[in-house]
Amino acid sequence: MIINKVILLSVFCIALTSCAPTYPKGNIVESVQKLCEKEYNANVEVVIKGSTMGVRIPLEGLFDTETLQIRPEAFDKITGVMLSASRVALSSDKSIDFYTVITYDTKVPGAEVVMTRYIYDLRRFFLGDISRGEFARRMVFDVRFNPQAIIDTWLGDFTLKEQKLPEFMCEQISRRITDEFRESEDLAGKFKVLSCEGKLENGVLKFIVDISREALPLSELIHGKAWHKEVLEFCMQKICYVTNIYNFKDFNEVEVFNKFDNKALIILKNETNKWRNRRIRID
Amino acid sequence: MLLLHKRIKLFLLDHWIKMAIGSAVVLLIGAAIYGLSTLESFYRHMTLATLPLQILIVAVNAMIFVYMYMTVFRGGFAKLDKGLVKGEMIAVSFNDVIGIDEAKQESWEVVELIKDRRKLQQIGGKVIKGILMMGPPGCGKTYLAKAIATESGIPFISMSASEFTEIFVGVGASRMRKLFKKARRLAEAHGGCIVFIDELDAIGKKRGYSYLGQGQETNATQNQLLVEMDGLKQKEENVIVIGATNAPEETLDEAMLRPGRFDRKVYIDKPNLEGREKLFKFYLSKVKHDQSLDIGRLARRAVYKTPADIMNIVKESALIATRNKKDRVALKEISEAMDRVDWGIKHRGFMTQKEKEMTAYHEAGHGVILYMLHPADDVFKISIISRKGYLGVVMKHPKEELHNRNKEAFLADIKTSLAGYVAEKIKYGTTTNGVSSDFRNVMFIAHTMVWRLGMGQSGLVGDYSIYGNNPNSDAPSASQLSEITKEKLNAETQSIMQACLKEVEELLKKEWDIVEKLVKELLDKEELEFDEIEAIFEQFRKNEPTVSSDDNK
Repeated sequence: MIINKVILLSVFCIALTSCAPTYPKGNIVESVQKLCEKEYNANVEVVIKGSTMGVRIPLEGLFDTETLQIRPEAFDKITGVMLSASRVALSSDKSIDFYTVITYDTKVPGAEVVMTRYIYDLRRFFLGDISRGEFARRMVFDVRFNPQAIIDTWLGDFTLKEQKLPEFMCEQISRRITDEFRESEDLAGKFKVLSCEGKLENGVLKFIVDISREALPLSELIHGKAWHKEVLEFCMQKICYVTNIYNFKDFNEVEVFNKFDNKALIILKNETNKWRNRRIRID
Repeated sequence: MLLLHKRIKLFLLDHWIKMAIGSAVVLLIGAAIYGLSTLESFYRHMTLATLPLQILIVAVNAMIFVYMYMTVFRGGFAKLDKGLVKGEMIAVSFNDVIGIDEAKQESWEVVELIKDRRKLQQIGGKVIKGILMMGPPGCGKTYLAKAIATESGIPFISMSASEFTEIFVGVGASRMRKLFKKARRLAEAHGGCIVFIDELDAIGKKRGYSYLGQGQETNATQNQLLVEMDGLKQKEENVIVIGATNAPEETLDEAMLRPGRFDRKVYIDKPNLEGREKLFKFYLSKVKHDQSLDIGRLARRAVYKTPADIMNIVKESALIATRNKKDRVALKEISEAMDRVDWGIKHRGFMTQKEKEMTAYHEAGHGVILYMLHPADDVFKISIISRKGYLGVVMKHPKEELHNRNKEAFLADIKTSLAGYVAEKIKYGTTTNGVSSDFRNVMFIAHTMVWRLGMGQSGLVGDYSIYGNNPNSDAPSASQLSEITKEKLNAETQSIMQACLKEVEELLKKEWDIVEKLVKELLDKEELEFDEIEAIFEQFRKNEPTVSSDDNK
């Protein structure tokens, strides 16, 4: 009986200790800064806008001047800062849906690397609900030149745009399409993706892509397989897949338009499941 | 103070595993709390969210492990799973022991000896090592042992002797060692311990020595018991062994019965009239009953019944009263309960009218002779309702509690048994197979009278049944008994039966009206109680022979 009481009391104590958030909403900025400095020796700027947390890190020598790739040491630091941002976002009572880590090179004004994560993805990853590969694919990653960044650097502040799920999703879909056409075993080398952009406009999830066929094999030349259908189908499947993983329903139809051959595929919301499961193809 | 120290030491020795496990659990829980408190809240939530599932998995694993352990290993063959029972927890006092006053008195002396052990040792007396309780089943041996434990207020360990027996040689002895080890430790801490071994004959029968090794396990267990009770030991502890058995004393091993082992024997016999009255009073007080019930009469009718039988009768009568939608137990219910306990359930309605009539004549014959000739037994019920495979029955009980039986009583037994046969013959001129058990009974009594008890007319005395064919026995062989003697004895047996037959025939013919009256009543009512039977005989102005103690000498 005494053992039962001890166990009950212990469980109660454990439950009690788990109640308080580690990073209260009033101290989020300081918490991220302190954590980054303590753990990764990184001085960061932190801004919160709505439910988006932005962390900006200045790095000297972010890019390798010869290869123009991100240097490994810089990448480690970015990863560390992202982890710190994740920890604070997860263990805080402030409702944060997205965090964005912006890294800029102090030697190359305006050049920055932007990485955005959805906290929902983070939770599912920690709970083992999604794989490491899928988790990586769900991050929005962009290397860009941003003139505003130069101004921000001068002013010692930075402008953060609040992230919304539709935009995040569209950017993620664009990245998935671009990456898969480049890296997939079946598609690599066959297609050339010049551009891929998407947005939610008047209830239509609209994606404009510019994807061309590099070279047609002899068999396809003879049999005349319609490769443009293949492109549209692939893009549509990706869009439907992503909308499904976030259970996104605020749209009426989905449109994919390939600028290269002016072909388009439009489906209604209720058809997205069939497309996702590849139970429907273009005739 | 010393006793307290010893108790603490014993407690630590007994519970060190539990205490170690408890401390480890507390430490681990403490470490878990500390670890969780250092985690960030998200990880804490995550850990707590998965905690119920983890506990469930651990519990299922533990259950599977325990199940496997219990079924495959069973904790070792020699595991002794006997817990201590404290004397005061048994809560059976001497006041609760009813109907066996002599045994109670002897047991009370034992309790006093256990309590005054030190005083006894100071004057140089030897402590009692073992008490053997002997007697028929259901007489309260176990109950008395419980009372001894309660009154002496020392720990009590109860085991059945059959728990020691196992197919593997040595297991029983091992269990015995463990039992006594435990008892000695308890005795050290509490000043004494009672080990109660029920059905002791399972390990206490005379040891046999066989070349084939039969009975080795029992021998080993018994040897261990003997050594534990009176062997060489470093220290003498106040461990008292109480054994209980239904087996006759002579079947038990002599080594067990010698002083130093079971040196005090308590004979618990069936209760006498006074005891039975007390028992009826006690058990009837627990049920709603008719206050006009004659307890003395019930006790007289329940001759040779054990306390367990009496308890069963009262319990059964309460059930019958409930079934008959009565709010209290009356004589009728008790009578029915006695019949049920002795003769089983009634089976009605499968005999033809002719069979019923024949059965009625057969039973009436028995009844008349029993009533008119038997000096020691009384007829208390005649029934033509089938029970236990008998079509009818004449129930009798002794008029007094007699402990021997004279020649006249034996002859009356023979006559009573023959009466059914005679009645059938007089009425129908033929007989049925209903006489088979009567004849077996007659033959057995007559044979015993002549062959064993010297009750024949020829003048031959002695027990001729000792002549046997067992080469291992010291008794004379059957070949030493002459054919002439055998013939004489057998003729004597037959002459007793014939004489009785003649007497019964004469009497029944003479009193045939009573037989007819009994048959008529039986066919009407199927069963006649003592009062009804007596009324019939009184109507014909016939009385029972009175019993005198001189008659039985």
